[in-house]
Amino acid sequence: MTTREDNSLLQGTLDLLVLQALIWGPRHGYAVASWIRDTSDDALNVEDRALYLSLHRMEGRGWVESEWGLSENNRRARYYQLTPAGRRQLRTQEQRWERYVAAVGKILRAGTREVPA
Amino acid sequence: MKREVRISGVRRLFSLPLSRRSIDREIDDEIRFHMESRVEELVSRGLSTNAARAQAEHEFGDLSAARRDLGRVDRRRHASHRRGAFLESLVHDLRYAIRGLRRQPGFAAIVIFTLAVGIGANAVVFGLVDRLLLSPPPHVTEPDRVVRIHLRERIGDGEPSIGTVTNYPIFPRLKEQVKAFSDVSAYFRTQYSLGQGAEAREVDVMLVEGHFHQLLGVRPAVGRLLLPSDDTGPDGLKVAVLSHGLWQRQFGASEAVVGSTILLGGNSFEIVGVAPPGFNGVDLDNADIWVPLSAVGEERFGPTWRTEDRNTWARGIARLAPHATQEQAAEEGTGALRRARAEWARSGSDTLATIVPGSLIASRGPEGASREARVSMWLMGVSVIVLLIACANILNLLLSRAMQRQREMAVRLAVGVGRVRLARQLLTETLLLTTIAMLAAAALGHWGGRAMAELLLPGIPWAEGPMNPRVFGFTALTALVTLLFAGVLPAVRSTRTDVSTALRTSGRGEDRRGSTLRNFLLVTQTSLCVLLLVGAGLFAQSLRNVRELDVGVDLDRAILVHMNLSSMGFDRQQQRDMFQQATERVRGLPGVQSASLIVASTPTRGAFFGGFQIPGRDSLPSLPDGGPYITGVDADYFRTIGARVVRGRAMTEAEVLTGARVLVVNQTIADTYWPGADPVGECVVTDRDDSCSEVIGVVQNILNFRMLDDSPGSIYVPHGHPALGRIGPSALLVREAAGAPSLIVPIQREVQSLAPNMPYVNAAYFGQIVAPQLQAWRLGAAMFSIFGVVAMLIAMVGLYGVIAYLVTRRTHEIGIRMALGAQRGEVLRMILGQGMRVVLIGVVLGTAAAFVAGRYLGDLLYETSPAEPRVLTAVAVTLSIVAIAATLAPSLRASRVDPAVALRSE
Repeated sequence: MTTREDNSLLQGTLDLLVLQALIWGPRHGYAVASWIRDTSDDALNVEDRALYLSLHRMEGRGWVESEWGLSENNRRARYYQLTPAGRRQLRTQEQRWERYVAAVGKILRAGTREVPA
Repeated sequence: MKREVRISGVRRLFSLPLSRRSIDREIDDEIRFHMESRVEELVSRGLSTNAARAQAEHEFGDLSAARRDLGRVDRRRHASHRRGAFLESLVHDLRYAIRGLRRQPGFAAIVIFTLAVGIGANAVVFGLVDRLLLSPPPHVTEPDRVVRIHLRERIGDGEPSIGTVTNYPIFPRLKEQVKAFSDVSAYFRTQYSLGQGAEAREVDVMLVEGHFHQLLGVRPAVGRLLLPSDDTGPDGLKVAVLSHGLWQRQFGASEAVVGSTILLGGNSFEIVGVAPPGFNGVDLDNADIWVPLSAVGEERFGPTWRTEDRNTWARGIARLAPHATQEQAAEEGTGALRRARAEWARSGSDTLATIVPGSLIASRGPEGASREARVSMWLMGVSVIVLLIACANILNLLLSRAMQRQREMAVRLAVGVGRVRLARQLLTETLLLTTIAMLAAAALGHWGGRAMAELLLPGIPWAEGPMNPRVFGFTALTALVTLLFAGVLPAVRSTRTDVSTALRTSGRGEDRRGSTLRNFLLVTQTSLCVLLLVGAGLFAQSLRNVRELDVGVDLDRAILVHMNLSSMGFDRQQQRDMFQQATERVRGLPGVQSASLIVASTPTRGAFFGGFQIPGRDSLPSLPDGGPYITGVDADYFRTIGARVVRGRAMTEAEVLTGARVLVVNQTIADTYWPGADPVGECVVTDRDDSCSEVIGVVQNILNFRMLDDSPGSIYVPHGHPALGRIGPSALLVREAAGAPSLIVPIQREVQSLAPNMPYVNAAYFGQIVAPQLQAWRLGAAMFSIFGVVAMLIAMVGLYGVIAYLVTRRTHEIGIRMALGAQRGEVLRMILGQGMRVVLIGVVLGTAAAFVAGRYLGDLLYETSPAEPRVLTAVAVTLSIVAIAATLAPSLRASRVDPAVALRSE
């Protein structure tokens, strides 16, 4: 297991991941956590607590909405679903993230060229 | 993944707000589901239950912190959600209300107009009455410790009366001897010219002792107010304090005026400061400038003004010492007054006179409220009546509307709109109407109030206009309660009606109780209108009676011209010449019928005492209303002023030229000294003379200051008669030819041209001079008329609305009647009759009420009976005509009903 400091996430980034997890339809919190864990091959160490906080906050902002339903094994679970505003938010955050990554990458590549061998 | 979840926006909107407890429970459920799922998965991968639980908890993080944070986030979300839902439905209700009102703009306009007038008028009138009667003068510190000094004394042989004007020397004595007063200050209000020549205008000047402002505790708006040091020594400093109003009007509200000089009555005064807005001293009179009494005392009242006890002109205020009572002040003051009177030993002065300190608040003073103030009190009642009429009208309209809407309500109930929600929508509609009406009322009260105050009470400055925010709030609240009662209750009641019945009768069934209530309200409105209009008529009649009172002066054609020669440095002879020349010049002006020079007493500017003896009588009875006063006249005097010589004749030109020993007495003298006999030919010996002067005529009593006062004795002698001694000319009298344009400006210009540096020429019709005395009746007539007409408009709009509504309801019935052979005329008469019956009952009841109320109005009227038949008839006829006009349109509509259409409309 990786240490916490290495892979701690910025708040906005976690929101982005959670929104992405909901893009295929309603999911409960555990499904969101599992999806992130599995998809990233456990590379991102996301505390579940932070994930739930992100879900509830985004519900307050109107990006997701929740409703109680039945889970795969017939237990009561709270399902989250993207709202239209959430979808828009996902698109903006995605673009911002890509611009960010591109900018950071550019700088890093420029750095490698200039460093004398 | 299965999609068994269905989330709908609609359900979210109406989801019940969660309690704090259930929020926490949901969070626990969510976390438990997460933990159990994770443990299961880890176990299925081969971990032991305990290890799986430990790892799940580690992955989750601090559990209690999570619960706390999630709870906080959720509660905030729910709170804002609730607010949002409320706002959303409010916006919806408002839209619905606006739509409803726009469908019936006439209804909305009537309600808004009615309420705005009712509330606005009330707020203004209450504000006026508050300032006139109920409040101390503004800007006075601890006004309940300041008293106005009154004297109760016997003048002549009359009953003891109370007054505020006395001689000046009593005030230093009161200040010195009365321990219950911490300070006493005398003051005198007069008029001076401000500026010079054609630019000059007359201003109201308060001559006050130096500590006057300090006694009141007023603070300046700019610079400083008067100080005791301005008013010491034989001559006070020539300094002046401007009123805030004058400063704004004449000096452009510039702070630079402090230190500059103004010309006041021909003397230079330095401006030292400006009084705060709305401050006009302790009276309800206008005040433009304050100057120290000693700066002008000698010029105004003679060199001995500080000690002269026979001149009465001063008024006084005092501040009570700490812990002193008015009773102590009265006792000590009376002691000081009686000691002073014993010392002065003035014959005829009342040695039993008492000092009475009284409140500055007009309604609490010992003199009682002025006629103006009492009329204002009535106006307050009137404006309440107008508000009542307005509320009755709105109640009526809303009731009719609720009936009309019964069907609409039933439909909405039938399609499942909740009763609470329906009631809330009606409430919103009512509140919307009220809000608009309040805004209109505030605007009306603000602008209308200023206009009304300026028109009716021109002497009183207002810091913020007469509309009183407290009263506005109160009346607005009254109106709101009325509206809620009228707008919501019937509607709620109608929501309880059986839906199917309401739908079946298609809203045609008339509610019996509703129609009785409406008729009752109409009768009430009509009778209140009668009351107001009768009041207007009575005051108007009084005003006319006072105006037509024969005071020996032709108010509309006689002009009094006064010149200020004091600063010209003329000697007596030069002054005489000036007046003589002015008279000649004015006589030559086009439009002047005659002009006359007055020596000594003038009807409205000052009276000179001129006693006489009748040879053969030891003593003469004293005259009940003072005098005799003496006036030096020429041959044209009586003709010019418009007085009738009732016996004998006026003096001839020859007698005037020679200063012959002849005189004319007024009716009062004739009646007192020669009751039942003819004084013409009698001999009297005037003061300053030792020979007989022959009485050559008796003239009717001529105005002496006040229109309604009983006349003092007056004698008229030719110019140059020994009785006049060295008294010089005082004024010029001009009579305008009938139909001539106003002579004021030509006269001023002509006289001014004689001496271009003369400070001021004042010319005014007697009608203008006495106008303030007629103020109470003018106020009453104007306000009762305004309110009466407004009330009539409101009531007639209400009548129209109700009849129109009835016609709409009865269209079907009328259709049947006409199908069965009723003529259009019959239908017209039927509907007209229905409206007129109600109005006539109202007129009869209102007349009866006016008859009763009039008895209380009696002492405010002048020579007018409260049951004046002309007034009552005029009001009844007017109201009936207006009522017919209001019912005619709907009645005509009813008579044009096409039976075929009316019956098919079912």
